Amino acid sequence: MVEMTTGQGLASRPGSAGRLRGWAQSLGLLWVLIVLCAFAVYLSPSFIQTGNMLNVGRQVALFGIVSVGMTFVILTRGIDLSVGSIVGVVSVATALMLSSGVPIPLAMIAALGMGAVFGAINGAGVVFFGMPPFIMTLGTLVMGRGIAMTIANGEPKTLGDASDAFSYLGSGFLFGIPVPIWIFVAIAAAAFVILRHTPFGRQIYAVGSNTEAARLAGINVPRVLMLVYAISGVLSGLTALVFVSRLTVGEPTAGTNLELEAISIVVIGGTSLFGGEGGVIGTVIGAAIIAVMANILNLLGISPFTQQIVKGAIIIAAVMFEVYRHERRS
Amino acid sequence: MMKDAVLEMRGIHKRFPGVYALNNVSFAVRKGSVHGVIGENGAGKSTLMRVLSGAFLANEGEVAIDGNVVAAPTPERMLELGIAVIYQELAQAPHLTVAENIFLGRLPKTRLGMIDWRRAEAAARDVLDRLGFRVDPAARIDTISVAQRQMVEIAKATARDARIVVLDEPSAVLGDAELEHLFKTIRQLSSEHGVSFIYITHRLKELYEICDEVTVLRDGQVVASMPLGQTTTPDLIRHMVGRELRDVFPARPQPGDQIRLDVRNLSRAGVLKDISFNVRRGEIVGICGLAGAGRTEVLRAIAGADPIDGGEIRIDGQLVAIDGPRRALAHGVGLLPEDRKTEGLFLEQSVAFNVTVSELAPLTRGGLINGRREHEAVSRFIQQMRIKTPNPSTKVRTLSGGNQQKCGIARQLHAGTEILLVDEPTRGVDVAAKREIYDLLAELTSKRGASVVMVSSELPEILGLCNRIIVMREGAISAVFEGEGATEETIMAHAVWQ
Ligand SMILES: Nc1ncnc2c1ncn2[C@@H]1O[C@H](COP(=O)(O)OP(=O)(O)OP(=O)(O)O)[C@@H](O)[C@H]1O
Ligand SMILES: [Mg+2]
Repeated sequence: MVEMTTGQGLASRPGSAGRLRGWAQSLGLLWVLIVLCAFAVYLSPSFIQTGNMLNVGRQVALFGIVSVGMTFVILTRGIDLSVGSIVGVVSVATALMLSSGVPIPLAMIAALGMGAVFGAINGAGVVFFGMPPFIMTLGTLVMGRGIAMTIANGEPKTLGDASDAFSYLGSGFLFGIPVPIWIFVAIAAAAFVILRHTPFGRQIYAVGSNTEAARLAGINVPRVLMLVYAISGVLSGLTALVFVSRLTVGEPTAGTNLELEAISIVVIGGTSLFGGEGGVIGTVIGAAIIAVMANILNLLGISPFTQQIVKGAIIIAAVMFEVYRHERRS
Repeated sequence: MMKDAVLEMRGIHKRFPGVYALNNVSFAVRKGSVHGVIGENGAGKSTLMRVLSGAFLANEGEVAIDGNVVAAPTPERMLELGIAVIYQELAQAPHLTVAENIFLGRLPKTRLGMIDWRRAEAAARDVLDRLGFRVDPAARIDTISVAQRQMVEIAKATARDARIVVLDEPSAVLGDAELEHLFKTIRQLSSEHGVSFIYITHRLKELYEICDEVTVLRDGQVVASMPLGQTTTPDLIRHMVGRELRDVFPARPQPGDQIRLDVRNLSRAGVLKDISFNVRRGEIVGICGLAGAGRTEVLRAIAGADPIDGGEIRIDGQLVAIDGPRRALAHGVGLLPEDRKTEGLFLEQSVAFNVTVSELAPLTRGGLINGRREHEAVSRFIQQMRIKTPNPSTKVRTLSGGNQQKCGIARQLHAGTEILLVDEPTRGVDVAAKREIYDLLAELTSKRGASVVMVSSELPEILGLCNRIIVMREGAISAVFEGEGATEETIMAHAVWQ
């Protein structure tokens, strides 16, 4: 009811009420971000120093890339808990390939391919064996970390001679802006176009809003789900490449807890855990909010342990709000 | 003020973004009477009832029960005051049992504070028996039929000692026998217990059977309110639609000779037995029978929605293997499902999304959907089918029931299906729109040479529209008639066991 009455001010002209509400939500998020930034500046003017801003930007990019993949999955009413583990496995594998002399382009393609295969396994479990996404990807989460540990023998792997040449991806600059940020911008833009303007995007929303209706409407539901998990896997692979490049080592523990970051970013960004609603603009803003928030906690000198408590509370609050919104509607 | 009015709504205004749903609506219901509310799709009937139940807060106006204005009309308060609304779109907990639904939130407890299942089920059985409804109290909601769910809701209202019960289009989901039963219950509760009913329907015939008074809404305003004895059907239609309507069906299509769809020995264990029939080019074939006779299942089998155990389907003489809805669509076979909410529509998405989702290729250039093209295509359907919506990007959830149905039909038309399988196409659709749908089906068949198979519980529309009529009983075909010359009596005789 509140929703109804608040909606009225927005649409003075009988117009695209739905879209307006969508924009209003993104706008609301943007305000949250602006207020957070203002608060950060108030705490410490050094927040807006270029060095710090670029750091925050890098952070946004790293978490953001996986979160875009997570957005695709959550839009279909699924979830992908395995993203962090995929980052771990691919990190180690990339380091092993590079140190044993595999050419960089080939290693990169192989890394993305591995991500895709992992994603496809998730998708196959969900589609062909009817596994609940939560359980399926929880399984691959645990397995993935195990594989990473096994092939790395529990130790970080160095890159050997490729180390310098490969560091551009994670530490390089293009037109004065870190390369990861460019990558993220490109991925987010592509995701935006796919979700908003292509038949595949429509099908993702259709499957997420009503799977049975999607099937009866002639949509190839298995294909949509397979692709969505594969995309999430590929973007996890990409994140691994950026990680390895930045740290110049392949850590088997890389990406630990990344799934939680990604899910909270997506949910804070307004994408519904019940599927079919939301999009990538929210996710971009969500990633920025999380990164700025982390920066603020650092500026306040709060210990990493306490930070975890705060983060967990934020996730719960965001999901609670989302569940509340969903309940009220039905 | 009306004498012995148990309910009065005065000067109610309700606005939504872009829609003035209720504009100064006043209306009163007498104690123990049955008050009909009619109007076209989107006239504001359901919205008015949501204001009454407290689900929507009116922008202006007041609600008085027994002459006392309700200060804060929240859903809890209205329930307390004895108002029970049984919505058009039933909202029930699918995983709970019938008994749990009936006593939701008020289940009897044992001394230890645990829920007393035995007592709950006994009490539920008691209520159901009293109403004469045959529903198992221990059954889960998602295992019983839509009609039975409606009964559960009525039982729930009775169990709460509701004084004003609102029924929003019950006949859209109930079969004839069940409806007859419901009427008996209504008469009994109203005359013996003084319960008042508000009865929303699109079938005017029902008004004369059950209602004492009627109120007509048009575009959010009350255009007439009177005892039923003082009015006639043509009058009511004129009030509703604002113009005269010819009340005939369009001319029956003239089918060609070419057989379009040929179904042979279709069977599915326990559901369908040896179903064989064919449909020619430009022909409308109707399927009727009682609820549960397998009508819906025939359509679903042909459309690939359910797997089949045996039988053949030929299209234009070619044997086809339909292994899913996607394959069916590729062969030009489209299904308009029975339950628009769970099988048909994407409620959280826009009208445009819902209309175009099955066929985006013609709107796509270089991999991208052309928004302007889509807008144009959808606007055409909105106009042609009079879908009442502020614009194509409105969420389907906010549309009235009948307009949602039209979106489903528009999707089939947009997809250009040549063999259209429609399951209760006019369910919840107003008189004027019904005629538009009839015209549309007739036009599709006669002009575009499409073939239509129509399942309907409304015999008059089957009799008025179809070239041939198939009667089903217990999963098998029990008779086939030429459309011309068939009567309700002969059809019913084959629909039930002698
Ligand atoms: N939650 C909502 N948000 C926006 N508009 C709404 C909402 N609910 C209803 N409307 C609009 O209000 C108008 C009246 O709808 P309502 O559901 O009351 O019609 P109705 O008379 O019950 O029609 P039907 O016979 O099709 O069920 C419609 O134009 C509908 O689109
Ligand atoms: Mg209605």
